[in-house]
Amino acid sequence: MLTTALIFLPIAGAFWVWITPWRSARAASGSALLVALAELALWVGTAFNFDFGATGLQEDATQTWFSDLGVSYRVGLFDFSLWLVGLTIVVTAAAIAYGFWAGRERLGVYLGLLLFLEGATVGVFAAQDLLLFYVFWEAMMIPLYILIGVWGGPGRLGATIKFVIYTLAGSLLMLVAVIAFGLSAGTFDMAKVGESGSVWIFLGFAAAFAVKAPLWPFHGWLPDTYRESPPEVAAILSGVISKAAAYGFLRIALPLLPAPVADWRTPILVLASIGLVYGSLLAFRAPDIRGVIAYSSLAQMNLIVIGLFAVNDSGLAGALLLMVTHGLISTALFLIAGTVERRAATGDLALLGGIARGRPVLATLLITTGVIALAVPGSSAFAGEFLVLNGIFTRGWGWAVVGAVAIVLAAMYMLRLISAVLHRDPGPAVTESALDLRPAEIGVIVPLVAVLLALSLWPAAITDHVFGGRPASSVTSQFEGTP
Amino acid sequence: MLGPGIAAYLILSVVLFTTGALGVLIRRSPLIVLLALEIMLNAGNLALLAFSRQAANGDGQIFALTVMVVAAAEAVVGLGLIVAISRKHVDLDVDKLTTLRG
Amino acid sequence: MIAAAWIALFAPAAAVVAIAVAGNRISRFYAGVVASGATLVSFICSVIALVSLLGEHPDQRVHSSTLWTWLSAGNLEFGATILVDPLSVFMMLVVSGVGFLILAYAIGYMRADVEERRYHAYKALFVFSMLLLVQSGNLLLLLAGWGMVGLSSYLLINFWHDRETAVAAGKKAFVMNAFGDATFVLALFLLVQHMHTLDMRSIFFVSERIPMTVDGVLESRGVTGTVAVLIALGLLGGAVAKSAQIPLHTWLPDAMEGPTPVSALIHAATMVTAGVYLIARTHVLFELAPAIQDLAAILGGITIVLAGLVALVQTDIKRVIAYSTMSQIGYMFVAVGLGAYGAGLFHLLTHAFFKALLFMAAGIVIHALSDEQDIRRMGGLGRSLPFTYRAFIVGALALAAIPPFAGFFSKDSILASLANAGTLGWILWGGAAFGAFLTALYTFRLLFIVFSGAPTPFASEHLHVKRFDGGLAMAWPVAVLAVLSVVGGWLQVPWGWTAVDDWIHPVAESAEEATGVTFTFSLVASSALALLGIYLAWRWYAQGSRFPEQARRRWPRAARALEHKFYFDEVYDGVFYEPAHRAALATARHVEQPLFLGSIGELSRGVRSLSGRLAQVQTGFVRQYAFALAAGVAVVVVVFLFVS
Repeated sequence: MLTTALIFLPIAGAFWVWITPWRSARAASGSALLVALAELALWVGTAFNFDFGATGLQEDATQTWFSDLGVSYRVGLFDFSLWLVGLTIVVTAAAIAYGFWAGRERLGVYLGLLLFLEGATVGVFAAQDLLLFYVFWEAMMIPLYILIGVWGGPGRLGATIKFVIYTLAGSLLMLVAVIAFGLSAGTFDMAKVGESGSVWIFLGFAAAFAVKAPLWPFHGWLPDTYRESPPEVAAILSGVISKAAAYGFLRIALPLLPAPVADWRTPILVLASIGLVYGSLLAFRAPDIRGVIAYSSLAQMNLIVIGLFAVNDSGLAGALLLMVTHGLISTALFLIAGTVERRAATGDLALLGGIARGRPVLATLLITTGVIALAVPGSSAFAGEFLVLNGIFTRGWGWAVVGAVAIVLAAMYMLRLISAVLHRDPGPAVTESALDLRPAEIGVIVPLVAVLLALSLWPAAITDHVFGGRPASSVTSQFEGTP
Repeated sequence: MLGPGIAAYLILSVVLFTTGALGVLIRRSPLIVLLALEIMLNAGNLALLAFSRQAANGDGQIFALTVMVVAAAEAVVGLGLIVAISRKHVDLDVDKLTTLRG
Repeated sequence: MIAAAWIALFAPAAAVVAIAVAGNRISRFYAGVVASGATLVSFICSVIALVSLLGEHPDQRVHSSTLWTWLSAGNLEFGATILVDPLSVFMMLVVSGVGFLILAYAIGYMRADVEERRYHAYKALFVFSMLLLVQSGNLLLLLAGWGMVGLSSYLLINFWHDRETAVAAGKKAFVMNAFGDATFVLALFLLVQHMHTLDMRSIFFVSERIPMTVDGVLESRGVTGTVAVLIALGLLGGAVAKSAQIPLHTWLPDAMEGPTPVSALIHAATMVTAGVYLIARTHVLFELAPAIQDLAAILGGITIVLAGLVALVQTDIKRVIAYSTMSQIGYMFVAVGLGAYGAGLFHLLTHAFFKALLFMAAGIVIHALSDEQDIRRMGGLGRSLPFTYRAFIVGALALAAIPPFAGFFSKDSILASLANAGTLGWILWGGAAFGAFLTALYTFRLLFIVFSGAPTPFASEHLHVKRFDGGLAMAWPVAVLAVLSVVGGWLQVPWGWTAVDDWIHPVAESAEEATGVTFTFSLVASSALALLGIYLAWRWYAQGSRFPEQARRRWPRAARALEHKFYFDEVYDGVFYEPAHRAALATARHVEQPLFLGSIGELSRGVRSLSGRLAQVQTGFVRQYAFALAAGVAVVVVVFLFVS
């Protein structure tokens, strides 16, 4: 029941915001923010109700949909999906608050779309039926197309077309895989379909997830899309939507298709390792803020995939920790990038610089987020990377060495970003009139950074509360305790 | 069972359908095209009813009713379009309404 | 005692939070008071821990406490654990004690800087990180502290962030340390694979008791041979990077871009000695890989000599001291590499005193001369800065290891251990003795150039002096350190007592020192060399001899090599930075652009032209469509009839 509420509260909120003839944009966005906060409260309530000691599905609901095909509306939360749902809700709330403050055109429609996106994404994390998963997956894409295509930057059309082509190709392959899988099993219920050894089904799912994550070399859409989206949409894309793909690997590929996963582990690890180094290298030379964040996102997502495909306790727990951490990091970074771009009217690193002088809040937030992003030892991102690389180390030390190289590269590109924006003499685009962060911006970004710091103090808050404490065994036995 | 056999109904239906189809293909006035379409639909209805009667169940009749509803809706949209077109003082000639060509 | 240790750890962290949250609601001065007050709290708590450990039997002086599980994965658990044992308390005292003095000095030094609060917060963050490093009872947490001291160091090096050079120096320091972190973390993976834990008590104190020695458990878990070598090598990589030993040393001289108290605290007294601490702390692992122990000692020996040589030609007052720091840490590496843990840590302690003293005295000079650091423009400052002059002399004598100053006892302790360590020991002894000569030479070169003779025109023009040369706030910590630089060495006196060795003994048993004739020879020889160094420095730099100029002209290539610091920077630029830079640009230009960004454009153009042609089918003639429909139906009907 709670899960259903978590999915449909924002969707209902979206319709409410769309349909009501608001007197002012302020009223529309205020009510959207209200819905987002109510959703957050609902999630906190769910988390308090949640029994982290038990494995298996909780807060689940089942309703037959197409009985003769074995399709049902079946939703529920595992302990790890609860964290990802929480990430979605926190990030969306921040995005809506930021969008409210930044004042987009047709705010009601805009924020309604964000709410709809939130509901669909929660649905992806909660769906326990293959077809339902696909439905939410597609429902998640549609608002994104509109958000980027209508509210994006000057090059939004090209970016949207790329994004649509890539994601549609991936989704259609996934649809084929869903249908093949469900029909051959006689049911679409994830708990009942059993394991499949079909390589084609695996590749169909992998195509969708690899495009969305993105896994190298399926990232062609990423730089343009992240550059052209409004910052809060880019934040959701890299913070949450990419995690949905990683979640797909975790929930569908690993437990339901174990044989193909084992066969394809090496090729996927090779791609992910290339992506890790490749993304880090490109981030090191990207000419603008968003480029650095985009390519570092690519690198981090490939690292997460490496952790997942280690399929052992350390790798899985680390990947999940990294998913949540990176979600918050990239959200904070994109929003900060947005504030910088508002002040300087450009994200070009060559035109920026010297922002730290006289703008202590902006500088402190960017530095804090930046050093967590480069996984300085002691941060939650470091904790995640440590577990991921430790997990893959037992599969072969070579992978971990690649990861270690990426640690050095991460330091190089993140410090370059920090000093190009903050340090040295003020750049041509930075004027005296560009002020420090305003209270509204602080109110959006500080909570995100505070959560990151809290997680750095206690990363076990997540790793202790996922997979019932036994990641590998619960994944290989299809999330034990599932009825 | 009284009355002519199924063949008679079907022959009539075919005649009507052909008439309608030729009307659609040959006439250039959208109004007539719409009329011809209605004839085609009703030819189909006739065939459905005939089969329904032969099979002695109501399925065909239900189909026919559905078709009527659709036909009515279609006529509303079609006539609406025609009125809108004529209001724009455009010739009512389907060969001249080619704005939607690729 | 445990509570005291936790308070010691978290007091500086609380100061960071307080300063950050308070923002400009507290004055700049009070921000400094909060930071140094918190460090003083840490120091008091460390003393409490020391006293309570002293009350126990040496074999029982190990305690650990876990407040919460920091990270977990399945069966792996990494606790937020601190370890209170003689080694960690020793380091806590050094860090918080010297740290407090330097933070107090910084209140005076940084007065009137625009972003003073940020400075004090960073400084407190550093103290917290460093205490985390030395107190942690878990190698993962140690690595956390390890990384965070690097972070604080980065933040403080580029504190004056509108200086291009400071920003570059900060990045360089961080990236080189990240390299060390990477090898460190790889060693930890290997260790986890075999031991399934990183808890120090379970790894090093296998019987849960001290002494911490090799007792077969590590070997039985497979930590032998190559595995042991790789683990030790990874740890050594981290230690070498953090302690600025050759070959990962080039960041330290550049790090002098930071404010002087930063150089004193981080880049002299505490952080850079963390590598020494690491080796002492994990000596059990190093002892399983003797080859790596020797490697550590050899790297230390090379650093002693090379850094000492480079220091001879440097012209920046802080860079001279920085090279001296590298060279002195080389002594510590040699010592801990050959198992003389007590001697190495003893030198760490005395070095913290006299090197902090030298930096702070240099800081007063720099302040007095309106931020000038080039010694060629200084001269004759002895008369106008009498207090600083005397403090500097004390520091210089301690650094040059002249009895009875602190450096003498610790350096001789190291040399005596080397003299007892076989052939390699004697080779390194030679290097160390030559290093002692170089140390005296470059230290007194600096002293004479800066303080003796007549004031240069630049000095007399820019000099502005306050009471106690730079104000009382800066003077009193210098005075305390000057006293410590004299008496600090008396903890361990030849033919007398060995307090440091005894204290460390339960954790790390030190190798035997030479005794008798060998010891006397070692002591006399090194002291004689140091005195020779001072004499030559006096002849060449105080008396205005023309020998240095002549030497430069006679051996131009050697001089140039020294001035270019043996070309390490140039080589690293060419071998690492440039290739990474080029690879990144080439990837962006030749792979990403055409293959991933361009290809989709090509594809969409293709699709567009194809669909353009297809769209011509759409004529717009409704009757054509109807005909196509009818024809299609006809075809279908025919096909159906034909098939059935």
